[in-house]
Amino acid sequence: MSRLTAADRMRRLLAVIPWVSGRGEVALSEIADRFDYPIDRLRRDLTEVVQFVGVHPYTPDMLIEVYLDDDNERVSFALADYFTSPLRLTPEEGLSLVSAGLGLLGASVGHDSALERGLHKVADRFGVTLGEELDVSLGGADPVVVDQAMAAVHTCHSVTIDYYSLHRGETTSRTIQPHRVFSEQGEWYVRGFCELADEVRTFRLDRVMALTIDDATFEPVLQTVAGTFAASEDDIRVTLQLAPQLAWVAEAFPVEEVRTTQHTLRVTLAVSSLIWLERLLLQLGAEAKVVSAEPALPPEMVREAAQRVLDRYRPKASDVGD
Amino acid sequence: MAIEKLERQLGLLAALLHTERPLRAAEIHARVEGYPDDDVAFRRAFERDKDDLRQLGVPLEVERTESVDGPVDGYRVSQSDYYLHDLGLAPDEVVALSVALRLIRLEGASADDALWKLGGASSDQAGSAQLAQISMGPAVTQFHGAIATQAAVTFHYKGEQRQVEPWRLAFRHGQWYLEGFDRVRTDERRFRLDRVEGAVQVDEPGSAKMPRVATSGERQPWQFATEEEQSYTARVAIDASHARWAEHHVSTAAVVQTYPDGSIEIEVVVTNIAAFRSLVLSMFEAAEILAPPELRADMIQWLETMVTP
Repeated sequence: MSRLTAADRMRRLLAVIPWVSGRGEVALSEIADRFDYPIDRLRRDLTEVVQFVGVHPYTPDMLIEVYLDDDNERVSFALADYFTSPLRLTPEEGLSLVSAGLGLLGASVGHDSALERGLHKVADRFGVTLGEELDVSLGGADPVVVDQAMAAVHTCHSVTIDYYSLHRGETTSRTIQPHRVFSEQGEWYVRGFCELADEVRTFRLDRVMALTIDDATFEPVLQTVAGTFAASEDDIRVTLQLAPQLAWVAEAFPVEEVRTTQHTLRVTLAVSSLIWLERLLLQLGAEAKVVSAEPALPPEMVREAAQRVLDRYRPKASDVGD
Repeated sequence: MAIEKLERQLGLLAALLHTERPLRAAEIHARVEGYPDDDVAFRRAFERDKDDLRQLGVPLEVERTESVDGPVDGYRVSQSDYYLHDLGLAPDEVVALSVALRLIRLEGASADDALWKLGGASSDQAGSAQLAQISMGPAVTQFHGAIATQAAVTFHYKGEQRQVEPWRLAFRHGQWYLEGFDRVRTDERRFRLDRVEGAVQVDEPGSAKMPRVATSGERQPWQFATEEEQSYTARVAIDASHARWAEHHVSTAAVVQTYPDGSIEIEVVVTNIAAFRSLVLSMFEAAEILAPPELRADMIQWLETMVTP
């Protein structure tokens, strides 16, 4: 925890004082957790600062009283009359609250209507017309699937999913131990140990056609927040040369390196799936060229993919499918 | 020991909330502990404290009040403007919103303050790790304010000045987008907020006159107009292997024909050819544009340039 500035402490105290006042005796450790307030700093601020806050003429009845129990572990206040309520939300804070609520609402099903009710109250207060004027989507997956996956992560239950693979065009049934659910670049994912693949994999939840929570449980795995799409050593490093109008590629994908030459752009991507790369290159078209790849790509990969698609448009000699 | 700034500012705020009439600076000097005795030094510290309080969002009011030396500024904070009392949230709603703020990380915003004002969320309640990140720059608030007051906005985008009547803010694909009516191009457009250059100028409330187009759900990428300004109704054949994916990503309603082998045909309105081409190519040879001839020819030409070196 870095040091808190006077302003950081002020922001916290203006919320802590009313919260504690409305509750009677509260453990310092709980305040520290809820308000992200280092406990030693909190204890000192309560006894050395808040204790002395009051109004003219500073007689005892005009000062906030701070009571710490004998072990210095629990606190209660009296006479904090001016701070009976936290400061109202600023418009920025209101919008933040609505945005977070909308994001989570898209991943929850009917049973959590407290979120929906609360969200509508805040939205009304800040004049936000939900959906019409402000909308947040964290992914296109079925909210039931996201909700179930989050529940399974929470309780450490394995899940069985019917997973649709776009490039194979087939659905496989897999049992996974879900470690984490997250949304990135507008899609929901679950990351976990896949028993079929015998390794940790990431699955897009919008391709999960069915999900059931199994009875089997697993040992919780410590998850780090970072490294969602961390490149793996096994990935292929591909350097692409792009025409200027394709500069968006550098923003849309996690690129490892970007170099700008006179009229073109070179980006290096870590790619874990050849099919993914093949599709991207087809979509980018002739204005994108593979400069180098390590390890090397199959020769003529893109040309052959384009030919395959093109064959479909050519007059058919017979009615042979693929 | 000198009184800390923190204690002095809490005392100042308590005095301003407690008072029944505006307090003059001289009265604040006399009543609030922690200010230097010297008048010039007091004034400097007081000015800084006022700025700090305003920065926190404290509604500090200044009113002219009479004194023996004529009218001077008086200061107070109205309790009804200060207190967070008007949300009327039930306890379970507060918990649900707090959990949302803890699970969805809002970058660059005062989301922490919002969370604390609701009483924070304990680690137990929030449970699992962070789910997503949403960046909340000042532009989000500014554009929202413009939408709420029906004010036109002017900003630079891709090197050009744009004048837009804003309709909607949408967070999609990990980015904020502004949708609205572009006055220069006289058409509906959408703008990625992180590509807005420089300051945004918000015009008078009510300056936006174009009736908002009712948003019937989310529009797809191939339905956002480009400079081509033409729309096509396209028909695409899709193999059984990719039919479920297409139904999911385009819409079940788009399916106009289903064959016994499971393959389907869909119809979509296309106003953005490049985005439509990407959609069809994402299915490789499992999809084929049947009509109109222009879009079919466009695809064939696109592929031919990749086949012939």
